[in-house]
Amino acid sequence: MTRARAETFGAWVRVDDRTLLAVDRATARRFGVDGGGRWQHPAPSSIVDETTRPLEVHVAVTARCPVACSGCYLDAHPDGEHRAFEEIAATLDDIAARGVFTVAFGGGEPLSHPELPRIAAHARARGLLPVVTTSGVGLTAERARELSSFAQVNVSHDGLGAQYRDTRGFDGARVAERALATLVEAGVPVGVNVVLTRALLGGDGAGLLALVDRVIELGAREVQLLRYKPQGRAASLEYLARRLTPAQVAQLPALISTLVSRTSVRIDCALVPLLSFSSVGRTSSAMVGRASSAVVGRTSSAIVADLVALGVMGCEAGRALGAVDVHGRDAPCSFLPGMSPADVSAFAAPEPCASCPVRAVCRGGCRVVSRHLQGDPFVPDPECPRVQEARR
Amino acid sequence: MDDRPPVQLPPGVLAVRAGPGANCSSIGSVVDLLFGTAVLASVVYAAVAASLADSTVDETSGDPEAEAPGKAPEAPEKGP
Repeated sequence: MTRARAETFGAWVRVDDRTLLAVDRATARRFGVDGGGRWQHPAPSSIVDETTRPLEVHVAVTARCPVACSGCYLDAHPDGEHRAFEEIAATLDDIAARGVFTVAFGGGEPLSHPELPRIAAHARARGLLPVVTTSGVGLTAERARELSSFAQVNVSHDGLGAQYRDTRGFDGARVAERALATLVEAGVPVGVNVVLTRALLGGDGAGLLALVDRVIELGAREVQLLRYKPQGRAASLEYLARRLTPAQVAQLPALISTLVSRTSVRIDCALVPLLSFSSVGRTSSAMVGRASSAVVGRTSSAIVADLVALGVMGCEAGRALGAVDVHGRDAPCSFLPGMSPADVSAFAAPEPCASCPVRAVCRGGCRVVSRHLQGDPFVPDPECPRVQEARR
Repeated sequence: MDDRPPVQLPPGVLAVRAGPGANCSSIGSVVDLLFGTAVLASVVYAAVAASLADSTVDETSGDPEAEAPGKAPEAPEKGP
């Protein structure tokens, strides 16, 4: 069933499990949407500024995880508590009433929650699209078949063999790969989450390329690239040794261009500042490295228009994205527990972001990184090349 | 200089988020449609056409006070 939510520009409309559209008012009417009071003034020109209610909410179902990754953002433990089904159901009822389209379940290890299939079914019954991310630990063929309500299951995989162990602190590569194969065998749509670390991108990204080839071979239909974020156990001095180097950041566009020739690739909003400056901020060979001709040289306005057309809206915390932690508390995103969604949503990045040509699709970068490195979430992302150059 | 055409969307469509986007952190986007080229318009055309032919739309106000908690939103049955 199509699900629609009126906005000042028209509406957001989910037309199927894989397609969420922003449409203008005339098209919204064709979908049967009545904008009422939201349409009493002329339509705004930007969907980015006008999307201030969550399209997606991340819901933690448990603080339990049988493994204890060194960089766990939640600080999950083997003896962590599950959130009760009834409480999770009430959360789902609430976010469905708030017009949310997608609910992404996480934890802890969500597969450890005994009622995960029932939770997904409840989300579906409320018109929400359920997705989940897992390490794959504890996944059996029977369990995989129970996950059929999910629109997609993503398996975290951060490197082949020893690279996985070096990143996470436990040897889970084979577990992840077995889970991938099991999910594919069960007919569950499956993707892979990859956290980008210095070790994985060493040697011109050979580890990442090998990893992607392996997961394609196993049947993953897309790869989601995630920025390494200093939250939970990852908020330590170790972060400085694991984050990408400036040279690796400069190579990211070229690396992604290579990846998209092999499979479908997604990025998280925290990666936008690392990509966008290489794309439009400058063109010196030293900075861009061997960045892709697919992006270098295009005008900033053309790139921003393309990014907006693809629904990229920069840091979405507290705006298009929300989170509910394992205690049922609202947060602007999974990595900002305890912070007010309204405060994060209201952040307007000062210079050098204010004059940046891609500010509309970046919004000052990742608040998690700013908080950890600068002690203040409300300053420009210090790992953005443009911000670094401005400080020199 | 890159001479690829810009991302093309059907008339009336302002943006598209493709894929369900399961991840543990933040919403992403399918960047192969940006870095590669694309077939985006035809994919979206097909999805829009199919959904307009659908007989039901779950129209949510996004206003919790307008939609009683603890039950599914009261979606009017509407045609395209």
